[in-house]
Amino acid sequence: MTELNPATIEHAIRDALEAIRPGNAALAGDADLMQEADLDSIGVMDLVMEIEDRLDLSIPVETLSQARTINGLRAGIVQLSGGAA
Amino acid sequence: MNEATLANTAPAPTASGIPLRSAVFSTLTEALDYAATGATGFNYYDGRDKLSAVLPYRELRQRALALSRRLASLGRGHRLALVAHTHPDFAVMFYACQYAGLVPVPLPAAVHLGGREAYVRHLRQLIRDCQAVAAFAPAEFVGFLKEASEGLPLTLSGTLDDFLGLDAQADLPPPPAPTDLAYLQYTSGSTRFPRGTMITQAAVMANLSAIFNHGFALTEDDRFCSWLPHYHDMGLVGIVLGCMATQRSVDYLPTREFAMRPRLWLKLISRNRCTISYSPPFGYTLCARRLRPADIEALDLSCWRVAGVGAEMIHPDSLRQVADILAPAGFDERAFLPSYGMAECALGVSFAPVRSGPRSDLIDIDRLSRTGEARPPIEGEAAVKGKAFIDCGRPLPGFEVEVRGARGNVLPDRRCGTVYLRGPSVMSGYFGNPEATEEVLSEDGWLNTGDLGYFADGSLFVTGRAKDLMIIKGRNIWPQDLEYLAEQQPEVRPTDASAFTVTDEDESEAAVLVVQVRETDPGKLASLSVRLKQAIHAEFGIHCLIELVPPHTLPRTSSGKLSRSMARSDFLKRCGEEPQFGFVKDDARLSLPNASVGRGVALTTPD
Repeated sequence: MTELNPATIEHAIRDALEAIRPGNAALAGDADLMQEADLDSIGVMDLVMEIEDRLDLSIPVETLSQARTINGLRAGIVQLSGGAA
Repeated sequence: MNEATLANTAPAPTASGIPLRSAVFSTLTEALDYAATGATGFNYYDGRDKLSAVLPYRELRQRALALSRRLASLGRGHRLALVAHTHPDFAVMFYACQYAGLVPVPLPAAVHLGGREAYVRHLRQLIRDCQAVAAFAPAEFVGFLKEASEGLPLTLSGTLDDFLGLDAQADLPPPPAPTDLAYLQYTSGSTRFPRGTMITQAAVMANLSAIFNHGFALTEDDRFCSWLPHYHDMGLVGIVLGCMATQRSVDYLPTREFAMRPRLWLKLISRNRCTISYSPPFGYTLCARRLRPADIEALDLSCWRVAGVGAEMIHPDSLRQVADILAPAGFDERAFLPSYGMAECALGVSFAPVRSGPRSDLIDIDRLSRTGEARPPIEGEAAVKGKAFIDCGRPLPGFEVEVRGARGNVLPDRRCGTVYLRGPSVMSGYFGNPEATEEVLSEDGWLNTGDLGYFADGSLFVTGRAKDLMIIKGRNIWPQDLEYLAEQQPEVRPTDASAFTVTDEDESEAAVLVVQVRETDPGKLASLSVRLKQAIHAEFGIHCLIELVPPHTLPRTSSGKLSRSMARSDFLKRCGEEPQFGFVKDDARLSLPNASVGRGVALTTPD
């Protein structure tokens, strides 16, 4: 399992985003993912799957329901891995 | 998860070890008392294709009975709201309500990215609407639930563990009577005006018996697989109730995991040799799109004898495409079983015959919209447009189904009208809403389905929704058709188009098609707009106002369906005008939606 610090997490999120929406790896951290990266509900599920696979963890709905941006997702996942450690 | 469920390592088997009794019970508790004497039950799989819990009916009954002694103090006949996540605790709570004589009310368990507030608001509105005395959610959803219940007069709002903290009464509560309500189910309608269908024990048992015996021709070798949400009538009634009432094992995949990894659904069917699985058409399409050749090679779907299709309009071409993609894995197109139903009659109304495959009826669409007659196009007549409607089969035994004209007269075969039905599984009404009930349910028990259709040789063909019908220059046009045309364009995805009518300055109806697109290049947008206009004009001979909007503009209902009426009112708001406004012939005003859409891209093309 990958070491989970905020930088690793952000890298995984950007990597995942690039995989499903090529050209979006450098999207601003506070950009609305659904609007700016063109994600519909199925697209969001794709992104979540790619992140989960990269970080080998499961992102609960609570975390997803409160995040709209890369920064938001990173903060949520940091909290998760902190709680698990 | 509870220790007992984790102790089981093998999934519940297909063979129950007891004689098959196919939904021949007078109540759900009687059905569970019998199912608990066999070996079958619910298997819960996670997104990694691992078995996360097994809940045999034997254990489900024990736990539900024990809990019913604690729920009894909440008051017989009262409502208990249950967030219906795909989880063993939901099943235990649901059946504990049955044994305690409480009325369970399944609530949605779906949250979008950043959608916390909207979801909490929706839960709160439903809890209030059903006047729940208590509310339950599995751990993953309890945070939302607690926030949604703040300040509401609930005895308790929490997880199964919290409910186990209630005092247990010494005696088991008396079992429900067939006339008691079995559950309330919110239909997939508007989130602003929720409608909870009241279904009695007798009603749901009558429908399950008809569906499983006549619809599926069930045998003791049948095994189910399902990713359908447990707050949806197909998932709740068809699977959580129906499979228990027929002692069938089910392999569950949570809806969210299906959306992420749709191929897991087929993998489960293939590996566990499941014979019956249901999905709305979009589930099949999503799955077929995501499959890679290597996935198909690894699958053996020859066991899948009933691939049920329902819950939305079925396009024969889409089914054929899915069948072609799955054929190398041994999938037989004849497994597709189109059906028609609604929460207002528990679940099912009519089923196509088993193993006949999807059959469709090619209709002269011009004639249908002009005269209401469903006749095949006459050969050799140039410019006649044919449209195929799917055969939804004969009504289940016990149902009377009529197609009625505008004056309430019963129409003969091949005449299109509103579908009415009467039978033992029709709801008692919408909870706490006599006005809405009166609108659809007559005193002598006839339900106005709000759907349009016709009969041909005893089979029912559904052509659209009565209230969404567009009448343009005297012609009946179905909005689904315009939407389907839009979805055929490479830039447009399924459910990204919504069609409706607005009133123009001559007080006649004009068609509007709002389409969500990810494309931002103005030239490409203009090209799409032109293609859509051309296609609509070519197919229906009408002018249509096309509005291209950014993704997530179109409003959806709780079950994710597009709402045309909400799309229409949003459209009028973007125009900054009330209905009855004449803009259709005014190019300057037509550009208004463009200006008010805000961020992202919008392009409105005047006709």
